[in-house]
Amino acid sequence: MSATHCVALIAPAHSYRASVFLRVAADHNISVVFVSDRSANIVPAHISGLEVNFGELTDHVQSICRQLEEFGVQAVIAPDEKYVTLAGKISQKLGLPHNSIESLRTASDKYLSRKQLKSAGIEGVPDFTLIDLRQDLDKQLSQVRFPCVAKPLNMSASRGVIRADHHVELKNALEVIEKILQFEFERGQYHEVIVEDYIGGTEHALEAYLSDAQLEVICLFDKPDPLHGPYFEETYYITPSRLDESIQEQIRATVLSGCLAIGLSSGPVHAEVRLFEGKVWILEIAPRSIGGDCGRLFELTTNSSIEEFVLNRAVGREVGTLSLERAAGVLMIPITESGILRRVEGVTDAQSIDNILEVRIDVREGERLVRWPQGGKYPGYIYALADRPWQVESALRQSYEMLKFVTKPELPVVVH
Amino acid sequence: MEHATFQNEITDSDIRVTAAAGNKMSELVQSTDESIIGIRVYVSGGGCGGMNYGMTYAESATDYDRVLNGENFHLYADVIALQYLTGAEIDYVDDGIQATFVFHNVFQTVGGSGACGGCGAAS
Repeated sequence: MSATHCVALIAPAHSYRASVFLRVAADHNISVVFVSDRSANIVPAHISGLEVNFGELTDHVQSICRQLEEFGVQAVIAPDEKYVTLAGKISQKLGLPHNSIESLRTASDKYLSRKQLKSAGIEGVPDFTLIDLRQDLDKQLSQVRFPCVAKPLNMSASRGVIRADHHVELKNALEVIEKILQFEFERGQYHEVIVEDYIGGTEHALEAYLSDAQLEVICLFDKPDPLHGPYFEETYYITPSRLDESIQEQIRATVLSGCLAIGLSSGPVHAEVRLFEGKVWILEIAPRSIGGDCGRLFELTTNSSIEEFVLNRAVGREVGTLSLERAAGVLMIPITESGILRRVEGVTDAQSIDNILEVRIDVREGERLVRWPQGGKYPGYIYALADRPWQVESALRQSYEMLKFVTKPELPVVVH
Repeated sequence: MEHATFQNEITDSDIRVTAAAGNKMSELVQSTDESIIGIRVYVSGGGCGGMNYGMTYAESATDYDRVLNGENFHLYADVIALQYLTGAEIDYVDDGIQATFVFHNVFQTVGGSGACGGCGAAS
């Protein structure tokens, strides 16, 4: 059967998010033009695509569009946040539905998004200051209130996000962030950080789909572990939320206001919020779906997936709201000790706990495990399904207790 | 055709270990349990920023390892890693602020910088 729908998927060759989209598209008879940076990658044996150099990508938008027109693509999807703005630009040139380029740029930059949310009068936005790491720090930090949180402008997965309770801690945190930025990006490419008020309370993640100024909630996750810092790696995501219905609605309404303030108009939305003293505070609004490994929760617990939902909506197919009928959750397994992995013990025991669906270990012997804030990769995931959220949480905690990551230290090395 | 003798030993012409580095490796190995047989040098990556170099404890030698037999320590590197380390010098520097092994001269044969170029890893 020939495919009746076609999408362009823009992603780096090794994107784990892209691989899920490719698999789901094939299952649903949607052809994909894979726009990527290498010919040997995660794609199946035969797939149409354009090989491009991402370093020069913005110079080639015109020629990419010309070629995509020939394929007759109906939507352009960028599963990784880094390429969302580019997907928007290509969509714009092809005359396809898209969020405005300005809104995508704003959403991808923590400083611009906070500034926009504040100027639109959204109340639940922490006060913040933009810090230039090249300038005199003492002068710039003189007005900062404590406790505060320092964040790079455009990194995800809480990488480089550090809480500081006083001036000395903040300067140390900025030094760490500067090193992370130097390691991750070309020298001098990024040198700004925001420092914002630390907001206490509980943290929640909203997964939703935006269209016609309406926010369709897919699910609201509770994060039952206290996220007080100093680092903020994710751990437990449990749904449905145990918050009162009225508070859940408050979260949905606040995120919708935030989306509209940023200028987003359509597509998947992943938002991180805090609930503190009865008020919803926006930490993040991203125009993308939840990451592939957490999104796998939907695949394991429903007969659908978040990628299927997004793809079908993108090509204009009528699909109902994706919903989890039972309580479900995922634990992003934290790294408690950096080092070289020797072995993981207890996986069979962890898997045998009631209500555990899967214990997935993604690291292999000899791999480096790096703790936050430098680290950004979880060594594995535990998924659970039960009748009640507390049963899911309990199963995940028991299962995690069984696991032991045995490492050997990585000796400090500098290369000249 | 000439006869030759092949050996699995790393010599000074492969990797040179300074006295400071040798002393530190010896100290590290002595301070561990019996399961540790030496120090391993490894190379990973190969992306846009070149190779990444690291060191950890060695628990066993493989068929592909070469070994530098120092005073009270053994330094292991597999043959692939050794290709990227030929001509290198490993030093140890403790200046009171940072204590670290320092690899000198590793880029003469392979190029690169040893730093990740951040070419778009999934995050």
